[in-house]
Amino acid sequence: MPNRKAENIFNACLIIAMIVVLVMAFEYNARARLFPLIFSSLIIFMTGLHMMMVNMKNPPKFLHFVTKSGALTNYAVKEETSDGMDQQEQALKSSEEIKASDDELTWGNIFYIFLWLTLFVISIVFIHYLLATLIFLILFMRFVGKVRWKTTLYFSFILTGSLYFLFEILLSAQQ
Amino acid sequence: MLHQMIPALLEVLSWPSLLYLVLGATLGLIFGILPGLGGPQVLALLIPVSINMDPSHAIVLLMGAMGAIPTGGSLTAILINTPGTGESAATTLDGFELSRQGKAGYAIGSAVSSSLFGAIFGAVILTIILPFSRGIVLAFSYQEYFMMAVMGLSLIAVLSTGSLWKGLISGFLGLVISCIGLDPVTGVTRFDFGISYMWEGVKLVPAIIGLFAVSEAVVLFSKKGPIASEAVSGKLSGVREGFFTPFKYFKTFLRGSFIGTIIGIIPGVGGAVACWVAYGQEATTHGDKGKFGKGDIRGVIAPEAANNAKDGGALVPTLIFGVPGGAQMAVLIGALILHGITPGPAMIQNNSDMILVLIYSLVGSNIVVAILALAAAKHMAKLTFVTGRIIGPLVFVIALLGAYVSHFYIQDVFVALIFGFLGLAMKRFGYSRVALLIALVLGSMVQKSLWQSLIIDSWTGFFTRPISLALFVATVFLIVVPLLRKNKSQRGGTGHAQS
Repeated sequence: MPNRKAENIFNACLIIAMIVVLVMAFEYNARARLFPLIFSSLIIFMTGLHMMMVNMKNPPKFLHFVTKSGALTNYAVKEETSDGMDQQEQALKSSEEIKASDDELTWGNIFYIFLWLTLFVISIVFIHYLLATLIFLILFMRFVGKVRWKTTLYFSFILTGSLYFLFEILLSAQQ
Repeated sequence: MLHQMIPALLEVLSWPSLLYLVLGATLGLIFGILPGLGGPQVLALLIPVSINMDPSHAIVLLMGAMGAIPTGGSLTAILINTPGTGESAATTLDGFELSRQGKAGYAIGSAVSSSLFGAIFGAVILTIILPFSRGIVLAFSYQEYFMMAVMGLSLIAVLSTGSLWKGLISGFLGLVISCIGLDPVTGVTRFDFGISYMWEGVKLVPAIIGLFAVSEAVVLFSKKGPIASEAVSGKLSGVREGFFTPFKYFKTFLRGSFIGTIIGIIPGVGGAVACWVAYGQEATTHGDKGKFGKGDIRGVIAPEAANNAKDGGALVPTLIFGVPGGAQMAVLIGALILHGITPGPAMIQNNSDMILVLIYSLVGSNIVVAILALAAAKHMAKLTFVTGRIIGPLVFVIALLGAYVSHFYIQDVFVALIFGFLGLAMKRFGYSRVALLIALVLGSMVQKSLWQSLIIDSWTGFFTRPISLALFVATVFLIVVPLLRKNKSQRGGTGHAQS
């Protein structure tokens, strides 16, 4: 999914959630509703304006501050580094590198990982959390992470054993 | 009290007190490393163990564990971007970035020494101000709390490294989320959707775990290589160099320690706020703020000095008034009462030797944990060389179980998961997670102190009380100075271009 489209969906979800907050806030007394009322309204307005600016082909110039770096940030420090690149360029380069590595993670993959995590959390409810941990680690590392069996089993048992020692022996944890 | 100083020191250094100190510090380090577990948990664990002990031995054990917590939390914050405690959250910004650059040893050395000397700073200040502290605590009323929170919120604008617009949206979102649960003044339950778990509001620990640990673990897992993105040698280097950084950046260290101690003195504010205020203050003090968040060592020194110095400060209201500064101090009060020592004015009169044992134990604990952390740092830093495919699932499990075992509420884990997804989306779309967290921490305090201030006084109270006014001026200063600096540097840039 293109990043712009995904961001639009995120922003739309944010606006919908804030509309729900806004509507619900009217159920409470004046003091209790003041903060949620003000801040949810601000979020709706600001997110809406941001969405509009990002998606318009020729956005009005006087609203450019909405999409630019903050008034208090983006210091124009220009110190040449050894390789002739200034700090801002370097920072930009490193952030782009990080972003590129993050971009390898598609939204499909993200949902897939969160599905596994949700199953892990649900399994804690039904079986003992240590057993759930062991099963999750083995299945997730081997079949999702494609880690070798030997490494998978090594790390799964070591971590589960450590957690057992800490929570059950040392803390005598009771569910 | 002066004549008791040497006997109290000898008491801490005698056998078996020293053993209890090492045991407590080791346990505190482990609890600090584990996300979701912290001071209240380790103290709660040790109370039954210490029941039959001599009171001074019990204090040494408890303080040994308590003092080690922040340092333990910092290690994971630096190595795997998972703050072991909320107090270490600010350290992730630059600490983890340094790990990514292959400088984990340098960051750990710096964090450990900043923590150690920060704790000593806090303890020294505590010793000096104990006789005068009553006045300081009483000087803070609702107006001061409100201004303190507003000052914290102004950091959102300062710390938003990308779009300020998005930073503000994130901050407002944090404030809205902080409105969930019982209204601190009227008692009305808000946005609970009929779920009793929601009455307490969104708990900070699962939220932090989700925003930083879970979301970052997803990114780590997707990476094929190790955490350290730079080519690094197999052996950890730079620990010694890092250890001396608080002396190299002595002003940074002093500012962090001072902020930590002062915030620690104010009941209910806590280490999570101290580390952010110290970090934000440091980021705004320097013209080269662009470096912060990209692996600047000062971004490690300031919050680390603050979160350990705050322990000394937090003991002021705890020991003098019996008013706990937070959950950790509340558990400590319980433990002291169990041993026949009631914190408050009576303790100053009847058990002043115990106060000194308590202070020395806090310092001793930090020395022990510094040695332990430095000795283990080499092995722990190897974590950054492990591939994300292995470290990712391990972080998932530690983080989610960390959220679970603190109260055994499965809902906490779901909250961590939801915040994990939110954090990941915010990271990808350039929304500031830090801004959301700061607002979440301060939201309840803003609401409560605002209404309480208005109940006892009018709006003018915020500007007629000297400390409140000073905090307001400091807030304006915090926002205006970077603006002026930016304008100045832009004008300078234009001048250069024209010439």
